Order: sequence, then C-alpha cells, then structure tokens
Amino acid sequence: MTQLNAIMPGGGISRRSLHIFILADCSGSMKIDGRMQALNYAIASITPQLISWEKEQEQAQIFIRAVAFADNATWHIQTPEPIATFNWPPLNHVEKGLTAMGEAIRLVADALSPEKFEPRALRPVILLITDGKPTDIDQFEIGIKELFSNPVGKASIRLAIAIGQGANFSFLNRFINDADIPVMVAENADQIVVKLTAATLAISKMSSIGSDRKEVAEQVIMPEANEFGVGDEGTIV
Amino acid sequence: MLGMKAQSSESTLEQQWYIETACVRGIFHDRNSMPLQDAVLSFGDLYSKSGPLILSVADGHGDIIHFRSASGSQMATEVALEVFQNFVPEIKALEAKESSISAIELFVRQNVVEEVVSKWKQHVRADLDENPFDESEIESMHSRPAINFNSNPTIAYGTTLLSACVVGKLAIMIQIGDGDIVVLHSDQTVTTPIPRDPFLVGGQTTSLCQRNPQKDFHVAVIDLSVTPIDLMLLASDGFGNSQIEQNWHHNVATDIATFSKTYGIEWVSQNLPLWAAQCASANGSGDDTTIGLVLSQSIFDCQEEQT
Repeated sequence: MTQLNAIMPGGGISRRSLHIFILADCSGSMKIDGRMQALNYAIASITPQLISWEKEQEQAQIFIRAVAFADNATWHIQTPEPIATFNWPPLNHVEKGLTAMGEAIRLVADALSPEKFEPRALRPVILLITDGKPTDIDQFEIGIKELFSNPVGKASIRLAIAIGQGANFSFLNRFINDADIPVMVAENADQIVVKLTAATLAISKMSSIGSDRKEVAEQVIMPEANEFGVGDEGTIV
Repeated sequence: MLGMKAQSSESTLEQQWYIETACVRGIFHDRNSMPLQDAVLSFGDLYSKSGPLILSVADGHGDIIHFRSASGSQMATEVALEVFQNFVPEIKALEAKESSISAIELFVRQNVVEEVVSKWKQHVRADLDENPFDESEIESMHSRPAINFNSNPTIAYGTTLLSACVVGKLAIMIQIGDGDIVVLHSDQTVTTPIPRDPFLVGGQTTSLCQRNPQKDFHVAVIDLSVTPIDLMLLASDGFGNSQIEQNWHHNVATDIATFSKTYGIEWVSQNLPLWAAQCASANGSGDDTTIGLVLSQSIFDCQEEQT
C-alpha cells in the first residue's frame, strides 16, 4: 500500500458518484391503505441496504435526491445527500392532491442537463413510485421529451413501482422506455418495502461495471413482476 | 515502454521528447473477472532524422456485448501507429508546402482517420477468420437479440482510440470516444484540443465499432513553431473519471510538469504507474486506467537553468 500513496498530480481522486432520484407520489390517493406511511417506511428501510452496498461495492459514492409530486412537483431533497449520512424526511400526502408526474419528470430532466450534472458520475438512477397516472399529461409529454433528449437522461436507469391497481402502466412504461425492464407492482402497502428492496438490488446490479440490464431485470425484477401478473401488460416486448 | 526517450534531431524541430506510459487493470474488472481492456502503444526511438513520435491509447468497452474489446483496443493502438507512420511523408510534404492547419486537419480526417477505421476493421475481420466466435461468445450475443452481430461483428471488439503524432513541427491528434488529450503549452497555458462530446455520459461512448465511426472522430493539429508544447497527456476515461475536480486538466498538466522539473524524468517514470494504479483502485474510478505522456526536453532544460 505504501507504493499506492504516491503524490498525485491534480486536485485528488475519489470514487465516482451514483445519483439516485426518487420521484414520490403524494397525491390524495396515497392516503388509502396507509400507502404514504408505507412509502416513508420503505424508503427509510432501504437506506441501510444502500449504505452497506456502498461500502461493499466500493465503486461509487451514492447520493440521494427526491421530488414529491401532487398538485405540483417540488424538490423534497434538492441537494444531493450522501447515503452514508442520509435520513429520509417523511412525506405527507396532499388531501385531494393531483398527480403532477410530468412536472416531477421535468424537474429531474433539468437536474440531469449537461450544465448541471457532473460528467464523471455513473449513469443516474430515477425511481418513480406512484399509485396513479399523471394528471398533467401535457407536462408528462414535455417531461418525457426533455428527459430523453438529454444525453444523461437517456442514459439513466429508470425504474418504476406501481402501487395498487390504479397505476397506469402505459405511462410508466413510457417513462422506463426499456422493453427489458418491467414495471414493479406493489399490490398493497405492505409490498412497497418488498418492491423497493428489489429496486435497490436492481440499482446495485445495474450500476455495476459490465452489468447486463436485461439479465438483472430477469433475475431481480421479473420474478417479482410475473408473480403479480405484470407480464401480461406487455411490458416485455 | 516506461522511460523511453525519443530524440528527434530533425532540423525543423531540434527537440528531444520522452514518452512515458502506464496501463493498469481496474479493480472492478478484476472483481468481475474482466480482462484489462485498455491498451497503449508508442513509437519513437532514437531515430536520427525525421521519424515521427506516436502515442496511442485505446479503451475497450466493458459491456458484455463487447466481449473481444481487449483485442479491439490492442488492434486500435497498433493500427493508429502503423497508419500515422505510413502518412508521415505526406504530412511532411504538406508541412513543407506551408499548408494551413485547417488543410492539414482536413488531410488527416480524409486520410489518416479513414485509413485507421478501414485497417481496424480489416484486423477485426482477420481475427474473426482465425478465431470465430465460440459458444460462450455466441451466448453473450444472444443476450442482446436487438443487436445484429451478423451485419456488424466489430461490435464485439468495440473500443475508443486516442492517438497523437509529433512529426516535424506538427502535433496531430485524433480521437473517437471518451478519454482525454491534454496539452501544456510552453507558455504554461493548458488546452484540451479535442473537446469533450457532451453526450458521452454514464459509460456511453462513441466507438470504432459503430456505423460510420469516421463522423465521430475528432481531429486537432497544433503548429509547434507557433505554440510549442511542454507536455501532452493522453488518458483513458479511468483517469479523468477519478479526478475530483471537474476541470482537472490544468492542475494535472501543470503538476506533472512541475514534478518533472523538480524530480526528473526517472521519478515521473517510476510514479506514473502508481498514479494509474490509484485511479484504477477503489479510491478512484476502479476502471482500467491508462496514462500516456509525451514530455518535451524543454521541461528539463528549465530544470538545468534553475539549477
């Protein structure tokens, strides 16, 4: 190790960053069946998994950002929070709140613009969790366009968890835009933790050097999806 | 290649050059049982007259569909060296005619780049004839049914390429894909003659294996009689992706020049592999890391003057 402590030219080196964006639905329907509380609990409970994965893989420093959306979308965590010191501030549903999913996607697309996103970071992960469909469809269309016209957005790993039967798969599949990756379905609040855990595992595997997204989806996401009949929705072409 | 000294006694460029290279397998390649997919090759011995000085770095892609990229990167460095050597007489002729920099750039794009692409594909085809895809490789191909290996088998060999050639009073650079070429001029300004493609993010890169790679090649030419250089650095993205500073190029280049002046070429030669190893470790990008340096004797002349 002594040899490795050479004087380095430049301002020093560090691991690359892995930015995870959580887009959390806070619409009125998230109060049903305690979904909002379950989501808060689930995100808090996957944090230790991400921390241990960060230590274990030694490849990337993980940072979390989050957008909450209901009548509109706002940054819940705007400054990237290192996972090592991360504490999830609980979200609340908005009474009779809408589902401004399009605005939420636009916020993330903007954060991924070449001027704002660090070039050496690994491909970012965007995790969308919702129990509905966008009520701002025009914004959704713009958001999708902005996301995929942006090189970083296009390269991002996009995962979606649908809570309950109300979530619209066609919108979520358009967000994922990868025939190899199906929507994960949490049939009820209890399953949110299970799905988020699967998503965490998928993130960790898909972010590894030399990983095969399709293989990871088959190993980590699809068994779960098939268990709940998602395959019939035509998510895998 | 370490510590190789290249001396040019050409009348137009009374200058000695040193080439130092280091290429280290990334720790994550090691952990994932992936081979070293970077390659580096240089040319420039103690020739007597007008031979060129050539340095090439290539970074074979890590995705499983590029399962022969270690060979692809090796071929790319060999081809670049061969092609630049072949075109030296014509480049020198252009220089003798005092052709403009833009005319030389055009010549390089229309000839050197075309020939590099053509020869690389020839090498790939020859390798395929000799070593057809085996069962495990065909299995890897089946994992991505959307990719048509039959129409473009070079995908298996996908690689970037950065190459620099110093000939006469010209420094010529070509690049496709990620990685960095950094130049420290004698007036201490630092430039990146080939700009970063904004769409090269998250491990995505342009490549020699893509359709029509010529269009994504960048070419730059520096007239050394106008803007002489002290140092040129070619590095695979394992190096740049390790740097904390987003605009690391200036500090890295000037620090290497300072180290060279202060401690001498032997010290740089000994430490270069350690720098690459740091970047290839879990403290850095963890990716294969290659650093190639072309150092002008003028750096060390300063050292003697200071002494």
